Amino acid sequence: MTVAQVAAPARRPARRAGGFGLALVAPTVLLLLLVQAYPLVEGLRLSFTQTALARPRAGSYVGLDNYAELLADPRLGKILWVTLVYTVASVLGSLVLGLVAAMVMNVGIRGRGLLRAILTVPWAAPGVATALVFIWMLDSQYGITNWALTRLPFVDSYQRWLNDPALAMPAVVAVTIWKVFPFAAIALLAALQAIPGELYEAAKVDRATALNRFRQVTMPGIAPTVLTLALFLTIWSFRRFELIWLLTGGGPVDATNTLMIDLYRESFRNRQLGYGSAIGVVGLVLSVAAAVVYFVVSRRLGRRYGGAG
Amino acid sequence: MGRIEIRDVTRRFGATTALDGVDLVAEDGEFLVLLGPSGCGKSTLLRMIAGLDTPTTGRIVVDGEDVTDRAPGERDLAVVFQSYALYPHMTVRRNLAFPLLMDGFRWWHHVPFLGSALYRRERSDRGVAERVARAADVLGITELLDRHPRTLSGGQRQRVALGRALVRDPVAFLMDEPLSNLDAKLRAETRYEILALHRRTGRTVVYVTHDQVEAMTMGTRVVVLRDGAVQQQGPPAEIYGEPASVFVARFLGTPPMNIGPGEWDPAEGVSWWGGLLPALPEGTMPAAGELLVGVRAEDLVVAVDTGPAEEPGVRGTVELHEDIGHETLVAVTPLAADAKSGVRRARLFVRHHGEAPPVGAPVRVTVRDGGRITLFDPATELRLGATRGVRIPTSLGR
Repeated sequence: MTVAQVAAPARRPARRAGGFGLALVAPTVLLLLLVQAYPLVEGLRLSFTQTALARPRAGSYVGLDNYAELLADPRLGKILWVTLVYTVASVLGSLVLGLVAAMVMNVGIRGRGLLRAILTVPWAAPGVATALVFIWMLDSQYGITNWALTRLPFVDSYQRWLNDPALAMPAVVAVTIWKVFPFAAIALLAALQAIPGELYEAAKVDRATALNRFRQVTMPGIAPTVLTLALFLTIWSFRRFELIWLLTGGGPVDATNTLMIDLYRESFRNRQLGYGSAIGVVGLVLSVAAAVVYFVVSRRLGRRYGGAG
Repeated sequence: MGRIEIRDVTRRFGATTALDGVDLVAEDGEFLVLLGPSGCGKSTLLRMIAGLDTPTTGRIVVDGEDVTDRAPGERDLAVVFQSYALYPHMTVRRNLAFPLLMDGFRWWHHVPFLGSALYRRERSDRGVAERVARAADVLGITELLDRHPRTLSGGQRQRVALGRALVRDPVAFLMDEPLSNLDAKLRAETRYEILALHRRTGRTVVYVTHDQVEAMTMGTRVVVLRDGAVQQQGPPAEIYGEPASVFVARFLGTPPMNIGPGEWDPAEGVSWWGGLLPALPEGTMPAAGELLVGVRAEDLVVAVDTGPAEEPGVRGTVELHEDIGHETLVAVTPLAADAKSGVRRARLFVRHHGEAPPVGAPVRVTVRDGGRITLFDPATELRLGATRGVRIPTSLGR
């Protein structure tokens, strides 16, 4: 009531200046329409057509044929499974490793600033360079990984890391985690530092063990950050292309053929732009689903924190 | 139970010494206030009693047992933190229950499913619920039990923090400036609540504050700390009336004690700011010479200067009035202060009832009958031994 009364006079002049206001926001809106809305709508439209890559303007409308074909494709199950495994493993791995790194830095060891600087290197390094370096490091004959591993007792054979169907996914996930976990670590370090030290002291006085202090003080304190991180990392994993493509190209035997890799293969290798777009729409739906889960969980979390969310 | 001994405790942080050989005893059931300006080491001392910090040297003994190397949770002490340190994601009820639940927590409660089910059973335990309800009732926060700390006011949070300390029935309460985040009115109210809590439980309280009003009104005994060392300890009235040093005299009381340069000449008496003070009883005076003279504002009287210059009393000019309702604080600048420039606090505060001499008026300030004079050594700033708050004999008068 009061708010409405206070707000009403403030709103009226804004409405009167409508034309001018619209002119001010127009550039932004146009830019967004151009780079966000147009590709989205165009992708959707393409997914209902049969379009060859060479002649993108000459597609013919085929209704839901692409989707029907995709759903009937026996490879779809495997693609989704690979995408899921890759996403879950790389997100969980990055979060866990990031949390460990953040907690180590939060303890206040010497040279923390240097450590933090070093930690940002993988995140800042270009994806292509990362992939090329790791291809050499994981090379089956000349790679340092095999050399180092065979120095250990009980390891006496070289592995074809990127060419063995059983090892390619772990290898790609490991490289992904190496590249992504610093981001999680820095975000989590900020969250850890925002937890008041007196809470830990109170918990100590209340006889909470180290594990209980982690569960009752640390986890609730960083939960919102973890949740947001998980959403970002998940969507990034869905969409990750260059790292996987350069490391394995989706192989061997489709072992690392995620949705995004398959999209590229269908669109640009098999030159089926329409079919590729249908795959893209599936990816979009999955991303949106992840975002919905995020909002539901964060709403519940907000309620637990006393209506702040 | 509840006797806390601090034996020759020193704490260093790198090159700085926060506490320097402190010896202190909090007797069972006592309300001991650690008072001092920020950086004097009072919070460090409290944290070491709680086990949140470890002495560099020295021991902490609770009820005859050396607890120096024990974890905070193994000392059976409760701490009320300045920021309250309530667990933000827990309701008030769970905040209060937390210490009790942790008492009963076993490592296998971490095991998923079975362990957490057992833990949940404990959480719904009758005894826990009853003790939480009782603590909530004592502090009048029963209707807040299902709310989260974030939705509470400062005073309510403060009471929840007290409640969390209370549920466990510890041998002693340690409080670290628990009122400093409250506004003035709430602070006064909560003061009484903490005192009532102390009376009800009969437990030892060690209370850290920089607020001398809290120290005076709450403590059964006050310990004044400065630069990591005990300056003086005793009942509030004693600390106020018989300060052991210039520091203590200035730290306690609003306004602080009037302290100024003086001289003791056996032939003439004690002079202060160039004016003679009433004669002190025989045998209370040290050797003749320069000294610092301290008199509380309520022990001074001020009147418009009419008599000849040789009459006793400090001559000066009224500089300003502070009317606080039932009394007026009259600030007088001694005439001698101009001559002795560079002397700190060249201003005398006098508590005055009734009509005060107007600002700018020439006045004479003297010590009232029965008022107390404290003499300090100008070099060490310590009180001169025999003058433990010497009272002016009523008969001698002005």
